[in-house]
Amino acid sequence: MGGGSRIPNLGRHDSALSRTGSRDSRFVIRDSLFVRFMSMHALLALAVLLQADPIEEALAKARPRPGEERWRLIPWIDSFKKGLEAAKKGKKPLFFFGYDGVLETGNC
Amino acid sequence: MLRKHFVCAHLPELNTRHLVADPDDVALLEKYNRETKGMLVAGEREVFLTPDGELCGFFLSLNTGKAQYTDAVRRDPAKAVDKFFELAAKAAEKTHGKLPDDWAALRDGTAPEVAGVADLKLPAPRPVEGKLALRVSVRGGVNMYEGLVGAETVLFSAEEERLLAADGEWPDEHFKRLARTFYTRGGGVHVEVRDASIVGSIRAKGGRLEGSFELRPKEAAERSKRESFRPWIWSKGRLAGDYTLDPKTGRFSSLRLAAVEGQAKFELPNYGDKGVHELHVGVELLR
Repeated sequence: MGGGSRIPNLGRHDSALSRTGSRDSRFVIRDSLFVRFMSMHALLALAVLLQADPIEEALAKARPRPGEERWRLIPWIDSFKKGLEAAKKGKKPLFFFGYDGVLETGNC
Repeated sequence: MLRKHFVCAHLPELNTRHLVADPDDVALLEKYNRETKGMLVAGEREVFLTPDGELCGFFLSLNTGKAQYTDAVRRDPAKAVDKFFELAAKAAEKTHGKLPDDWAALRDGTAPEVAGVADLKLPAPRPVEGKLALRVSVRGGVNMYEGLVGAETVLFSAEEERLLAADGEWPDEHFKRLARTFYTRGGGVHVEVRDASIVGSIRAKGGRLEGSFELRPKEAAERSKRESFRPWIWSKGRLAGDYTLDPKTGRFSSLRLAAVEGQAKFELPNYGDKGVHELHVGVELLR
């Protein structure tokens, strides 16, 4: 949404546009100003609603988002050895994901 | 592609000898580590093997292009996906002698299975019959673990739920059972904060919950079972929430609780003091 932070003065714009003699352009510009006016108010209303429920706002920041949990859709086998056994049985390659790190210390 | 053409495995534990549950898995990690001159078990790795166990390649998807895994801003997910498919193709070709017929369609996303996966619903956490189940989500914001989120469920018996639903302060042991899960995720393995390291309380009154928490482990082992890397130091915050009760049963029909001013501190060995960061904690009723 453009137009900066000022709410447009519809009356002033209408009187300025009336000099162009173009009815269509006046309606288009008036409509776009109306849309911007309403969009700004809709955004303001949404911000007020979110602020009105700070608990939901805080919960939304904490919860896992759908895209973050897609890894759970992979049917993981919780063992490297069992994974290799299943790969051999199913004649499929194995994708193995391991966390860090060095066996003695856990360092990465 | 993974669901159709690969078997997928992971070790849910950190790769340390005393944490990996199966000694056979330790032996396998050692074997492949020797083959790769110590590179395989040096950090998180995505590894591709044939069914006979031949190593076809591995990489760390957090390192993409010129960005190290510590650099969230410059990571390039597209490059990580390219590398992933490059190594997966190598494993698939070695296994079958050629790529599966639908490989290109899976790669460019036009295969119907791709849309099918996008439509799949994740299994939702299920409530437990007869118990109060509270789902806790915790998200932090420190470098290397920015946005990392953890979630777990805390259970209370029906008798304990009656105590939590009554006006007044939650019993200390029940508060600590919940607050113990508010630690910041990232770097810690098997974090177990003891009661003596938790202060705070939650008070219920007329549908409102208020309180505070601070987790400040007194012993290093509480912060992580991995001795060499214990970056999380403390977490704290104010708590606010609300609840409703079923008038017939007296049990919670809704409960929401969140840290509205959460903070956490990390100190990363070799990376220095990372300062104090935002911590987001949310608790919701599972019904």
